[in-house]
Amino acid sequence: MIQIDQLNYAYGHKQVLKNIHLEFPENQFSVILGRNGCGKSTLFKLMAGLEPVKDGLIRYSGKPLSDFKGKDRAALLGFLPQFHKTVFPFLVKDVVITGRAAFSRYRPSKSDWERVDQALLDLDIEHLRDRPYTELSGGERQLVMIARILVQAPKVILLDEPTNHLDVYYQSYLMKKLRQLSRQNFTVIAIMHDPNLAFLFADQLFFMREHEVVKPESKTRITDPKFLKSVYDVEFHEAMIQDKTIVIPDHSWL
Amino acid sequence: MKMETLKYYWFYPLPVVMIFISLLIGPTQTLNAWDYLLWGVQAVFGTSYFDAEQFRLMQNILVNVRLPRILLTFMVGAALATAGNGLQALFRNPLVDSYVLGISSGAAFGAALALSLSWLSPNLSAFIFGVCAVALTYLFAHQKHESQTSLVMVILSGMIVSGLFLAGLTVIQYLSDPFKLQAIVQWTMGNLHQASWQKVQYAVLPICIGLAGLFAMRWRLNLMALGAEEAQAVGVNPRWEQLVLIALVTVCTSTSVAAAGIISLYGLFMPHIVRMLVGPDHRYSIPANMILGGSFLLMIDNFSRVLLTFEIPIGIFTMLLGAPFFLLLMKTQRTHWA
Amino acid sequence: MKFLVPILTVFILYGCSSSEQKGKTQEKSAAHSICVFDSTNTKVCVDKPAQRIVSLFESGLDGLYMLGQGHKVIGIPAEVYIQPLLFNAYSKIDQRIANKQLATPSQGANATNIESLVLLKPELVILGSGQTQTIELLRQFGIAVYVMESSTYQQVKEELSEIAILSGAQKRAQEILSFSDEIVAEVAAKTARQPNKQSIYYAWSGGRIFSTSGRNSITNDFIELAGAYNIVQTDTNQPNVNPETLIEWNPDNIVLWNTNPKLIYERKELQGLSAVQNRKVFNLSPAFIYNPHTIKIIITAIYLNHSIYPEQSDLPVSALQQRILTKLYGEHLAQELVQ
Repeated sequence: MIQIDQLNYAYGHKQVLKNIHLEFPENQFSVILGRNGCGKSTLFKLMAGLEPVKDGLIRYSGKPLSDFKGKDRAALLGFLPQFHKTVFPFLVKDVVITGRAAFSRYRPSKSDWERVDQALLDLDIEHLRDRPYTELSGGERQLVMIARILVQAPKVILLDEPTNHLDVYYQSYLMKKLRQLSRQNFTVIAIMHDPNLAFLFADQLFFMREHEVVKPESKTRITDPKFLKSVYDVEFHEAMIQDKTIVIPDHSWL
Repeated sequence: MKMETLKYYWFYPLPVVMIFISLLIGPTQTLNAWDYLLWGVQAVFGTSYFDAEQFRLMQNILVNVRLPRILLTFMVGAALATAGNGLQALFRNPLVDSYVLGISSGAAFGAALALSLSWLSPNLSAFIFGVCAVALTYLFAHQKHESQTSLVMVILSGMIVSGLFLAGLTVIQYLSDPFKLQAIVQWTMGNLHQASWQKVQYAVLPICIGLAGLFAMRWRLNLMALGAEEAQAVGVNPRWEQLVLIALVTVCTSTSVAAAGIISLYGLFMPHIVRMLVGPDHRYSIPANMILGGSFLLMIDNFSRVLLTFEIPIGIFTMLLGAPFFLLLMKTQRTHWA
Repeated sequence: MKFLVPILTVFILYGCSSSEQKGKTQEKSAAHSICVFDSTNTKVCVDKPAQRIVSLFESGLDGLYMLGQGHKVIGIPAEVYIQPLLFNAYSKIDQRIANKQLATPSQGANATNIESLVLLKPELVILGSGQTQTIELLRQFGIAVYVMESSTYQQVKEELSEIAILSGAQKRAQEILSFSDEIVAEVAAKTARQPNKQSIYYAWSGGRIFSTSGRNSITNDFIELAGAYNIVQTDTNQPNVNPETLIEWNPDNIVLWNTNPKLIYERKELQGLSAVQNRKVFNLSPAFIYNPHTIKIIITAIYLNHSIYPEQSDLPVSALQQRILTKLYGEHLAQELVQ
């Protein structure tokens, strides 16, 4: 679905992405993991079209992002940036309906409003419909923004560190929803740095270290502590809970 | 109609009421509002309260003195308030008004230049320089390697452009003789009392175009107010819409300044008042700003007409009356600023 | 201890400078014999009639020419060169101005270039009252500074005779003032023959027809000298009126300054005014001969008086103007100035 070939990017003289080669399959929940500063945010910006690609290729269904314009672009890609700052106390429903802005020029149609109600229902936040957005908690706001993307209904959803400001409840809630969405005909790609949530919920995992993509020896040994140490510079221990493997940082120094 | 929806629409008949009242009041001491009401009755039903000459005199006052001023005031008020609302959405900052792009300084400079050199009418010169100021602001703020023009840069360069034109204005004032200086100062403080049908004719088309454009964009303003990145997040390129918005705001504001001088802070606090009454959704606040913006300025002008025999520039009144009212609303309403 | 030396230095310098100036001015006033009190109530003295005069107050400059002391002028205000009306008039009066030979140590009403002024070595400087700092500074240099206002008819006459004293033209000043008293008496006599005193509304130049002058202005003075009364009854200097108010007042006459009366006649809302219907809108043009801040205020008075109270036996107004202008400037200039 999304192919990235020989992508290089530099801010001035600083090389931020080196020869990135990635492939994200359709209708799956993929996660890109890595430390702060490894280049994943830059990768996100290039994939979302916030910065122009100068060296390399990012193709969506075989075509570069710049080929998609206007409504086609909106139908292809929607993304969730990391920070939202709102100044005006818009109501939640009014925030969500702006997701249709690329399709309805001057006023939202009746079917647009129906989509809003459906999206709020899907995410179990119908009770927030008429509340001012500025009164919501971090987790609720995140969900409202996701509802917005649902209303837009693009084929691909990109998220930049979606679980960062959420409590445990909303973290697992959100990850569950993202996985569900990937089963509902969306391709979901998230940038994260917490490995465990990714291990538990994602279909595909990708790792970055120091501006490059790194791969484990084999798919089955993703949770290999030696590999993870090369990614995170932290000693991990594996643990199996039911049928899933998680990792915990080494605490022998306690 | 539900109470809920009523709060968005109760003020729609206001313009008609305001215009009617405004026609009745004025500074003439021998005739009062009741007399003009009777004039109206005579005009429609033919009852003879006044002799022919008196009737014609009153008609002259109503049609040639009061009506153009009322219409101009309403248009200018609507234009300033709506433009302010649009810009506050664009900059996501409730502390901007339509003068932040340098329009007021550019226009004042243009008018002063025209008044001291007598080469163009001051109003036309004001309009031209107002537009130039915005163009300069945008030119300074544009950075080639950025794909978006940062809004902080726009505000900063607006300040620079303002400063430049103000310096120019000061130089002109310094070099002028006392009479020209008086003329410049009076023009700058707001001169609605020089309203005439000619001014109305010049102002009506640009202001209507500007307001129509802002009305069409009222839902898009919601999106813009969420942020540039948020717009891109749903597949919309905000750059063209920003340019269109700035062009519409410039047309509205420049025409207002050219027709009526500088009316400070009206475009800042009026959108706030409106927002407190109808909420932040621009689908309601844009039309509300047009209606309430026009009506409120008309009310202020009525005050100034009735209170004193001699005209005081309206900018002073907008501050004296608007500020306490604004303060009152601020204290009694809960605002949800994040 | 560290601060003592700088502080002492500051005090010493301050003490030196002020006492020096005081000493100088005291010395000078003892020796001078020609003194007047100007509009700031300061004693202005010269030891002999001034031969080198810089006038940065246009009405004062005009007065000097009328007194026949124009050859003593070595500096003029910049507006004489900049404003076309003034330049045209003064070029005819003084060849040096036509050839732009006279220095202008000023940039406008507010900006005087003190260095250039001092370099001209003037014996007398005439300034308007607005430039307080320049005035102080020049006085500190020991230069005689005469401050003019000419804001009422009385003051115009006083100040004319005072600059005459300072430049040694008392006789000529006497001539002019007694002549103007004659004229004023004529006007008063004519007005006495009228059944009712008429009203005048004065509108400012530059198209600002709704800006007028109140009772406390030179405009009011020439209106009264013309045998009429100002329809504006407030003391405010430059009030703006609402057109409705003007319609309500319905003045008998409207007087404009260097503005085409068409501007009034074309206004739809003013069609009902009696001044418009009776075509009693008068334009003071060429503005130079009507400057009310000089003794030419009597020209304004006589022009208006004969315009608003026309009589069968009247001489044409232009003849009357010529008479006065001839007295003030001489016959040749009198004809040139009205063109």
